[in-house]
Amino acid sequence: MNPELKILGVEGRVAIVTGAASGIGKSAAEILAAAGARVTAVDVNTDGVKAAVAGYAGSGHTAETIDLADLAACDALIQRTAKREGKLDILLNVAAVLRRIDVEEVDEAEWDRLMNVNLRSQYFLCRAAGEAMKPGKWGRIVNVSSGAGLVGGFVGATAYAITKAGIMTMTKSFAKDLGPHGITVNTLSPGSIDTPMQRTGMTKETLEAARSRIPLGRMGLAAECARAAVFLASDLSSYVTGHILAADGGFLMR
Amino acid sequence: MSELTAGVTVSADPSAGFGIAGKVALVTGAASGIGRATAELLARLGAKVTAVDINGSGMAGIDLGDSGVTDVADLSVPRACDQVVASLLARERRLDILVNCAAILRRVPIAQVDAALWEKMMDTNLLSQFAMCRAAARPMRKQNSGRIVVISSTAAFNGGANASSVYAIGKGGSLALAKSFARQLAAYNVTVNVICPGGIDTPMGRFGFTDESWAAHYANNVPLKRAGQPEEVAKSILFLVSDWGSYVTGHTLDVEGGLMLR
Repeated sequence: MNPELKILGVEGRVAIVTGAASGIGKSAAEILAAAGARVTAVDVNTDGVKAAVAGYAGSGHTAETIDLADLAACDALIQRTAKREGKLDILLNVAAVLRRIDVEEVDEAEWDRLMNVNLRSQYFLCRAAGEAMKPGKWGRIVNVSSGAGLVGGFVGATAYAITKAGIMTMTKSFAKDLGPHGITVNTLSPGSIDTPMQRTGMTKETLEAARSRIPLGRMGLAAECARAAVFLASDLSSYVTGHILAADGGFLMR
Repeated sequence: MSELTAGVTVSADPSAGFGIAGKVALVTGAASGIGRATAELLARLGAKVTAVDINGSGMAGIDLGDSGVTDVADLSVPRACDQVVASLLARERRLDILVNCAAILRRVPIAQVDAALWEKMMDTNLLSQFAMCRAAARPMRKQNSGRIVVISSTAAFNGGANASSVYAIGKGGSLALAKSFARQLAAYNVTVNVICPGGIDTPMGRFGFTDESWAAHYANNVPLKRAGQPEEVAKSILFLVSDWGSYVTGHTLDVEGGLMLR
């Protein structure tokens, strides 16, 4: 283990990371494992999450296949993990779905799918995780939103943007509720990060247009955004709660 | 890496550290509170720290390791800011990190604020940040790398408690200052961010509170039910000035225990 990472204080911590098969979730889980946490990695993609866990530093990690639209499965995940590990310290809610379609084409099924996977799952995971964290009087919850939640989304991501705004409000509610128990709850608001999801439904031209609007002049690596998530999951952020941290190359300037 | 991320200078390695070792850092307001905690934390991680304060004796005993230097200057005078940076560059030949913590707080009711108080507060808290950022921008542009943090305050958003209007106004200026520098320096791989501390247990934070009113204020108003420690703010600053903050710029990071939930 890189001794510099000791200052994070996540060694021996038990962490759940959703959306761990690719992109920001995959990278954040790898960093937590490298810093000595025991990681339960969750994704709907069984092969992807198993392969990700196989690549982690250290030992004692677990791969879970779950469709987060299934609420009973969300609750069971928290219970099972806390029981197996004896505690729960960190929850990173990264999993999300994005489909870029015209606002006229968002039907009820599409709306429900986005709301359930992106927002409802985070609510029920936060609630169950908060209960599991209270006995330890220390906890870190990081809910990944998106700059889309503040500016309305791009290229047909309207319903997606609404779920992401909901995450910001939800996070503040949980920050108030769980703060007295030593649990911080923060939002990470990624800008344009070069992940498979970012490229969904985009052309070379729309990607280039998105890139050119970023003050730093480039999209972010998943690892850069993941480090911001791990900052919020660590001892470094002990007096930060209810905050919306933008890792966006200066796009929002907020 | 791809054509969309071309220009990135940090590694994607999950075990990568903070990249602070060997960096040349300048921390103002280093005699006490957040500035002192930040200077000591960066030094502990291997940075070559120049600690600056108007109060030279206040920096006695500061632990900057083997390569640290202290410098006494009145940063409310832009020429003094230029000199601090010039002498640092003469010594180190580069400047990687600037953390602007120096500030004063006066609690004066609005009706009693005169031009002298306005100027004193604005020069010390805001003009000094501008002059330091301007002086640091030159070497950082040349290096095509750099990290700047300016300290604002929750007062910038809520107007400030207990007759601190001019302080609050200056801290509001710090928000715009940082964003402006962030925009102008982004093309040079320099990030500029703001930290917004809330109630931090420092001489300035406690100014105007009794022990009882201090404790009660944070128990009643802050979700974390306590004031923060300067070391906690320093750790958030570490994130922004390290390799870990590489995709964060123009951001205002609230370190206030959930006081604002803005």
